[in-house]
Amino acid sequence: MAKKTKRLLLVTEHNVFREALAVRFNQEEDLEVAWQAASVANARNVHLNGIDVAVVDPLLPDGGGLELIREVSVANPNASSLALSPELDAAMRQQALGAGATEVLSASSSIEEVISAVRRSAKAQ
Amino acid sequence: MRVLLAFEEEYRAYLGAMATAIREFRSEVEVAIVDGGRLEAEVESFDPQLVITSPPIPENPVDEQLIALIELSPDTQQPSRFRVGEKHWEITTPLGETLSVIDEAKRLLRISRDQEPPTLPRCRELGLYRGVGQRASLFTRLPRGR
Repeated sequence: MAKKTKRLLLVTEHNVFREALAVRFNQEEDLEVAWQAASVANARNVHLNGIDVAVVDPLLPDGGGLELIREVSVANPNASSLALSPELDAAMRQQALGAGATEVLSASSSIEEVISAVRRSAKAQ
Repeated sequence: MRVLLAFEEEYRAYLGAMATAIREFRSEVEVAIVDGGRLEAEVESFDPQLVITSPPIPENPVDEQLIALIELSPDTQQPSRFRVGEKHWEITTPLGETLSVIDEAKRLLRISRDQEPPTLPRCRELGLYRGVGQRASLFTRLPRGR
């Protein structure tokens, strides 16, 4: 059995969506949601050195999703970020990539595509 | 027990995850996902007891056909609306609330099935079968003396 090696930080405001994503990610043997946060303020309490991939909605209610992606790459150069949101236009995609996201994905993707993107994101580091 | 998830396409990843979560915590529940625009057609074919959908539900509501309905607001500033049987409430929604709605809908489904008239095989067993093609519900009145 493969060891759970990739520790995820999952940051999106919606409780139901976030908890459901955590359940789905945790079904994968190589992924583990280690921390969840509903806002940038909550995510800042997480020890970012302990994560491999941050899955972040850039459009968080306190407005700092992009800033959080930047903070992840500064605090932990070995970690990567994936921007995931239902409302991603071309400008937001560019901003997320500019902030350091290795993958930018619309939530209209299938959950399997999201999981593949998390793995690609982890390998990119 | 069947649960239908119906949201707009931009929430597809979340719906896939929700379907997984429901199956993980309530493995006996059958879960299907449909694009929100096909809600009414899918209610007809899948015949769910619970629909979880984004508000507002379509003009021609499917509500009356269901034991339970969750209008799950993707906007966390807006409340989500729940109905199970005759009970209605609004709340911002942790996953646990969704599972408790599934459990209550299952309970109501079980009660409604217990109160249904006997099925055709059961009618035969009770000696109440009167003819080919007649529905079991025609046999709810027991003959005198039984």
